[in-house]
Amino acid sequence: MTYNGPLPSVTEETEGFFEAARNGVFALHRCAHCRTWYWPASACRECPNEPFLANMRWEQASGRGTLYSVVIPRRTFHPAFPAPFVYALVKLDEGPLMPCGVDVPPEQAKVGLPVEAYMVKLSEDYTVPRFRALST
Amino acid sequence: MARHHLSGRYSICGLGVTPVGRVTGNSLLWNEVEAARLAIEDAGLERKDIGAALQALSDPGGGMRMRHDDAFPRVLGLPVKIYCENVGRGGEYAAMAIVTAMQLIELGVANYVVVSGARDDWSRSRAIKKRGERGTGMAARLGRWGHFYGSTTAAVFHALIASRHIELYGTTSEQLGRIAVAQREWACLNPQATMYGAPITIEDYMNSPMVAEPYRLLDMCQQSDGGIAFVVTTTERAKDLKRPPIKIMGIGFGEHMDHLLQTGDHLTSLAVDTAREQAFSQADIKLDDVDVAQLYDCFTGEVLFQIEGYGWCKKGEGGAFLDAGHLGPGGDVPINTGGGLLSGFHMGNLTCFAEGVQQLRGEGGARQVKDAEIALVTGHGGEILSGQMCSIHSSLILGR
Ligand SMILES: [Zn+2]
Repeated sequence: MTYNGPLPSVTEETEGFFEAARNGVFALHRCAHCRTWYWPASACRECPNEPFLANMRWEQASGRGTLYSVVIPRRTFHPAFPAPFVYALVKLDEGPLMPCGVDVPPEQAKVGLPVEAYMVKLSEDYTVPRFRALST
Repeated sequence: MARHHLSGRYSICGLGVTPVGRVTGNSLLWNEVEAARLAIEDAGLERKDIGAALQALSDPGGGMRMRHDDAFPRVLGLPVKIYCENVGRGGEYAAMAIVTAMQLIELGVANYVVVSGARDDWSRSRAIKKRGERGTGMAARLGRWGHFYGSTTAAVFHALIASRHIELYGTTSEQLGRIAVAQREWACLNPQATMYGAPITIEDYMNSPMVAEPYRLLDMCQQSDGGIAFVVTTTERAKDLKRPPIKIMGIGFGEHMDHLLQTGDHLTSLAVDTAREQAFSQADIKLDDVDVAQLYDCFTGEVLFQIEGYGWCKKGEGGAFLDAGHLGPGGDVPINTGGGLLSGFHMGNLTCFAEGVQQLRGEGGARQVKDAEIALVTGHGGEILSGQMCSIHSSLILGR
């Protein structure tokens, strides 16, 4: 089925993230000095930063995490997202939180559920990560 | 402790509120114009007295309205030296506009500053159905993080923070419902409220449909058309005008943006701490001194978080506090006495501000809180977890 929902607004500072996604890679922003992970694009809170955050890079991350806070829309707000579906904050194994679509049945979407990212192509140009239950 | 030297030095001398609620037919501009006209008239001033004008942000969550074609001071013929658009952020306009107005007066740019803000939720959705987005366009709205996961409406991402509170503290849906019911009771005493004459019970709340679980329909605020404006001047000047001065006793601000998605701290609170400390210490008051509180309430969760944040109860104990029933008419903690955004109308925190001023003036009619002398008015961003990261919180202390 063709996706007919909104596409991401890609900017200079988020391009690396979406570029990696298009190549099937789940990337987070990471400090080259202290190796701390960030999402979304951030200056390192621990280190002095170089001009235009040159010390920060998009690096492949595990794509794993657990559900941290869960919302289940029970009403269809947009035809591309028929209710019910799951929208959750995922606590990534690397630390940051990411609000994201999660493809598990609503009754399974409990805080603490281990999840993993996988890539979903929205259009020829746009691919984004979504999460699903971690396969064991 | 002593009051800040600016505490009480400036006052609100005029307030204008247009018909507001599910009222269609007037544009944003027309509502701003009418509210400003009413505020100037209420103060007993003439248009020639107004030296500066500020437009309170007219569309909080939807993205900046592309609208630089005309301005309310032009329409009204106000001889202003300065006009700023979109003063405010998220649902916070009143405190930022007052700070700006105070500084303009302090610098001698103006003696009287009018602030006007409007919304057109009802008209806009009707217009879009009829004509498409023409004339209603927003800059940079679709495409924000979350939109492509179906988080296309405020209820979805706002529910994430309520959901976290429920998870951490065992807060129940019924406890959130206590807020909705108490504010509806207030609204039923306020003829201006959209839900005037439409009482609800906790059973009605529990039977209202889930929209974005854990939020039900009755956890969500109103959508409104209308405009609210006010005039700021020095308390000295305000004393000579026809209305009693409502003094600006303290203003504080807070943000939660630095670590929000890095640590998960602050997901069950608003940025109340610094805002409260600044405003209360400027005014030299304690929480007990607050007679009425108008807390920004885009959803019930925000009220719960502020009840805890301001210290009416301990963090995590908001649910039990709500069970004890302090908020409604006759309660010992009168909160959102006009019905708030939930049951009154949504003019951002101009809703809270107007109700605060009306209570201190003793104009509350059936909902008047006896001997109200100090009002707490808050403002809040809200798109905490969308790409916009709007975490602002403001505390404004008004006194009579
Ligand atoms: Zn670092």
